[in-house]
Amino acid sequence: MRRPRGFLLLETTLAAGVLAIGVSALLLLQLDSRHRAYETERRARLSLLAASVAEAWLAGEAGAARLAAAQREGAAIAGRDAGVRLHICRLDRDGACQPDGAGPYAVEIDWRDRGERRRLSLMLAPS
Amino acid sequence: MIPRGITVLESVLAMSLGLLLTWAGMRAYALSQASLRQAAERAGRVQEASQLLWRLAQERRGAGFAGCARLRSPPGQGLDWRYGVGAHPVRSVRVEYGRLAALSVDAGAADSLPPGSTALIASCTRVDAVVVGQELLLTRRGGSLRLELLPDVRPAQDEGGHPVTSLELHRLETRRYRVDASRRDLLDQRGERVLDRVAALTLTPAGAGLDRLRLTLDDGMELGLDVARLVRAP
Repeated sequence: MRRPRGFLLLETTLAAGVLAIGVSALLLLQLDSRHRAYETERRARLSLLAASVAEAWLAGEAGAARLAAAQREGAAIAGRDAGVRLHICRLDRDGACQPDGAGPYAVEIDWRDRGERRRLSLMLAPS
Repeated sequence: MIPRGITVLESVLAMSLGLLLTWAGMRAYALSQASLRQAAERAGRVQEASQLLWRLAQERRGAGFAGCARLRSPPGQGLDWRYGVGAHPVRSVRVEYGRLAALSVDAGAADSLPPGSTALIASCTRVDAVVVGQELLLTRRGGSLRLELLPDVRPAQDEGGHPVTSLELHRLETRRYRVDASRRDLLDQRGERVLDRVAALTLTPAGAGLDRLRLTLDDGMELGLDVARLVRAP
């Protein structure tokens, strides 16, 4: 009598591979969408922080202590590994933040998002 | 020899396993979708809440003044703000027996003063609130609008009266926000919902010259925005 035919190694590997690809794609999609949602939230919170610093600056309250507190707050919002850097500077002609620029003042927040550099800039226009 | 086929037992087993895998896949997909929806919803709520804070901060900046005069805050702390909207410079005044009896502004002011609204006659030293149609009668004459004050509400023009040079006409507008604790909604003065799922909205001093608007959502998420306390020089 002929031996009953079982599943081939190739068939099993192929099935497992297809399943693994499907699951990985689903997981990656979820991770990516979750990260995008997180980044949206982070940006909204950092915008509020920048606006708060701007208001403090307008009220003449943006001293070193306030900026240090805002820096800590920024790190708490974005995460320690995001390398948040918050500063008030003056914009040059190209809109770049320079310590000795002659243009209007701006609040800038830099951070890293999965290795990529992100920046949020809020121009200060005192009335 | 005839090759052996698939037995009923094998078929049933294969189908069961197939069904189990399909069910597990669908379940995993549903769970991941729900989780994604939650994350997206949370991000959306943070954005919505931060936009509301920006708007409130903007409203807060202009509140409490009619021109250069400060409006008295209503009793109790909270988000209850008053504004003088649409400053119309006063062209001329009529004073009778030491009291301000009538004033004249540009005709366009009539559009911003519907009957029943409250008009503010404001200068840098004082503000008088009068109800249009009841205490203040409006008559349009060519390019100007004449406003006649009824005798009972005519402000004295002696010492402490309005300096005529800084006299302006505004419409009083109020913004009031409160959290409906039972429905967890943030409502405005008309009772309309501004934001849902809100636990608290407060305005507290945050150092000299700054107030902090703090919005707490019902899941404990907290957002804050500092607002400069502006002081207008009289």
